[in-house]
Amino acid sequence: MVLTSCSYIPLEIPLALGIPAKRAFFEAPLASCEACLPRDFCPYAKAFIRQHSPEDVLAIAGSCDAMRRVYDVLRHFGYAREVYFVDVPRTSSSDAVTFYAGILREFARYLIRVRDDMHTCSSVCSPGYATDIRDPLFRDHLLATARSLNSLRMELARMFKLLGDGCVSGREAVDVALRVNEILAGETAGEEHKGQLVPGEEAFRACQAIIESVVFRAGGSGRTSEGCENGKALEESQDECDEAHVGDKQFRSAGSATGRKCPGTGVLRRRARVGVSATCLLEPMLVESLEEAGLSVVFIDSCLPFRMFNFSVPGLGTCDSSSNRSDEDARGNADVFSSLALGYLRKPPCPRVFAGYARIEHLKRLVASSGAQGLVYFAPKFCDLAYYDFAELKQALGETGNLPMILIEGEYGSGRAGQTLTRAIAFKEMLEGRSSFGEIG
Amino acid sequence: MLLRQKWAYAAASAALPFLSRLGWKEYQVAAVRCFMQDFAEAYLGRKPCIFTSAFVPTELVYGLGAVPFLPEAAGGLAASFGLAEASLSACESLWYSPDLCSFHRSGLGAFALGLAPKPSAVIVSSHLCDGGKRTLFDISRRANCPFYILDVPYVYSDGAARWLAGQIESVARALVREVPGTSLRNMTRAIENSNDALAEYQSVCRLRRNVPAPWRGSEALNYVVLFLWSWGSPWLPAFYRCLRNHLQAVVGAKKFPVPEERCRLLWLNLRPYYETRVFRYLEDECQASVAFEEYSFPYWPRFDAQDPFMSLARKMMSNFGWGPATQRLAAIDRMVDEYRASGVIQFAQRGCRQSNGAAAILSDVLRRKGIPFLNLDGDGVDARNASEAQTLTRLGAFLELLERKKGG
Ligand code: SF4
Ligand code: SF4
Repeated sequence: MVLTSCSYIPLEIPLALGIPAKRAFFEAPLASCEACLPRDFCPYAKAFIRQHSPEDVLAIAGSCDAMRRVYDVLRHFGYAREVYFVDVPRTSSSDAVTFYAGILREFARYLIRVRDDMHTCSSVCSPGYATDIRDPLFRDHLLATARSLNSLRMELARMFKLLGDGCVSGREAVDVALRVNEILAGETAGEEHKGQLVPGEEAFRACQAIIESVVFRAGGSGRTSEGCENGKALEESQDECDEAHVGDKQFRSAGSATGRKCPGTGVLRRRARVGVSATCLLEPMLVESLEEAGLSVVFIDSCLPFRMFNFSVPGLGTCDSSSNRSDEDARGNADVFSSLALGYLRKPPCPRVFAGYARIEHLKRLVASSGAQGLVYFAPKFCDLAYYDFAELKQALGETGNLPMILIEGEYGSGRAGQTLTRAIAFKEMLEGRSSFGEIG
Repeated sequence: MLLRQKWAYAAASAALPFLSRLGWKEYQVAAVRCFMQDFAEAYLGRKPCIFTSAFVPTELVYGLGAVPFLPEAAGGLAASFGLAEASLSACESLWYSPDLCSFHRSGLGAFALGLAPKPSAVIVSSHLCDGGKRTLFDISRRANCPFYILDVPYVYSDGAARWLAGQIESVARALVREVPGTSLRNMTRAIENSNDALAEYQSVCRLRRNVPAPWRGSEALNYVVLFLWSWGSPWLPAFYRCLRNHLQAVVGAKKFPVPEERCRLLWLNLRPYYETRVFRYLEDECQASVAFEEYSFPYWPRFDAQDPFMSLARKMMSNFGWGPATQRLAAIDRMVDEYRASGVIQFAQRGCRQSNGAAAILSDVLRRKGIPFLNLDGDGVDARNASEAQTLTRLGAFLELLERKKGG
């Protein structure tokens, strides 16, 4: 299993090699790791410091100072058998894209070596996968996987849009993203999804079915059955929808968890509308608390869930590629690694990437398109990138843009803390007060 | 403000000769003269002033005919002139968290208070840490001047070095277009100045291996600001020549600052730059000398004046603080051997994740080498985050440990 530490590491590559892969997310409570990392390190970085399974490959991105030291600590103290550093650039010029494409090729070669070593000692995946990145079979798998993920991201983008329309709750959106992440890793989609010949085809259909069910229930235009290979998948997901297995812990998706009818288009809309921004949201609880406090969360600009999925890898098309380029054309010239590097480096910028004003402009567009009346900024405690990001956004959106903003710092589990709920209620009352005086839209 | 007054520099230059009579050493007077010259050019606008983050090679700036200004390093200077608290609260009023590294906050705050010169441009690099880039981006917005980032690959390869060299060259050419008064005419001169200074400095480093140490580590840690700020300047070779002569004289006359050295320390990261008893306690009361400091280690190869941009790229990528921690450990291991350190102290600057994050690994590796290690929490700029009593207690206990170990 490949566990990635950052949304800038393409899952397409391990999946195309038949290796289950997912973005690593964790849940409280976490074991202390103060023997290895200082107390003032972000909770997400500290969560990596644990004994990982011998079959896990940790792909650590140089996202920040903290993650660079996590890489060192995991290797030095032997917390994982395989730890790989993915040198994600901070910029996205064409030279940076070329450089990153080279980094991704190396990453693929490394994964082949590790997979074949592990395969000799355990059945990590079925033998039907390429053993060299120049192998046309690998190219086909990578292209197919990239297009499947492009399709999945399109579906998720539709769901995220319903969040903006107030028809899907923020908690549901995070739940779906977490479940898609787990299904891609073949964790909860059942054994048979592991190591399919065409990478995770069933896993992708299971993900689409889950997204469809949320979109369908929220009154969004449900895709006709050809969108999911067979109608059965949609029904199957209907039952799964009420009980979601995430990792080894089972929790119920928001719709049924709070016993309320899946929100119709009006219920969330009349509430004060807030966007959430963060480096890493850590877990869904903060969003749940905001909604419990009576706020309507209309976007979640965090690598959990938006920034993992709200982009597309250009030039490769989607599952039903007839809609844009013929197979031969897509197969013929697009160098898939360059497309991946381009798509990932130029996706909506997170606070780590150095995109000058682009991030501020991106947040302005999110606020304008969603009609958010305020912004809740979540900073994982001791996340420097979040502290810098908040200061920049507060100056650009808060002071100049007159957008009410609050900063909530937290650790794992603090999303449910009483103090978070109290602050959320206070923020809601302030927003409602200001909108009744016509101060904010 | 004094630094913006022409007469102030004239008066200071006139006063310089008196410093020697007051007992200042020649290299100390040379350092003041050099900084005064650069500050005059920056504050009086005689040359374009380019702000950089700490590990952008300043040869690039001098090579463009400009003068550098490093807000992070200036943050340390602000602390030594008692201006830290004002600059830190100015930064916090701009919504920056007090959990961030105070060198960055103080640099930005000092700029917001108008204590810094006016930048013609800002160049940051993605190394060594996350902080510098963001504060300097904020400064470039406030000053409405061009902003450039050098994206430094994490692991050396020829391809990676070529990419970085290409970035450096395009930033240099863009600056020549955008900032009046800059040109590439001075680049070869700056590279040669740097090579000359490096040769002199390597002699200084060899002299500092002497036992006892010929130079107070506490003072050497003050000159780290010069080590970050002045490579490529016309006056750095002469400064290091002065320092070399001084150390040679000390060794010759056997007039060592800590004559009865009971132990030799390697100091990692920076130091408190405000008034503190820490080094008087170490060097005078306990006869423990700081033999060398991590941030004074000359880690880069000589430059090739015919290939300046690749040389600058190699300098950036050979920084042992950038890349897997194994590189930093190897450099520290070499310093421990070369300066015969019996103990290593890391000044754990609050909020410095990139350095503090390696403390457990450092402790483990040094323990196996038989070298005691102390991770000493502190804050180099914000005295409010430091407890001197606790620091002295921990230092005392550590020195006792070294004594016991020496006793066998
Ligand atoms: S916030 Fe950005 S750098 Fe940090 S983990 Fe998420 S995507 Fe990666
Ligand atoms: S949350 Fe912040 S500090 Fe933690 S890994 Fe992500 S960017 Fe780094």
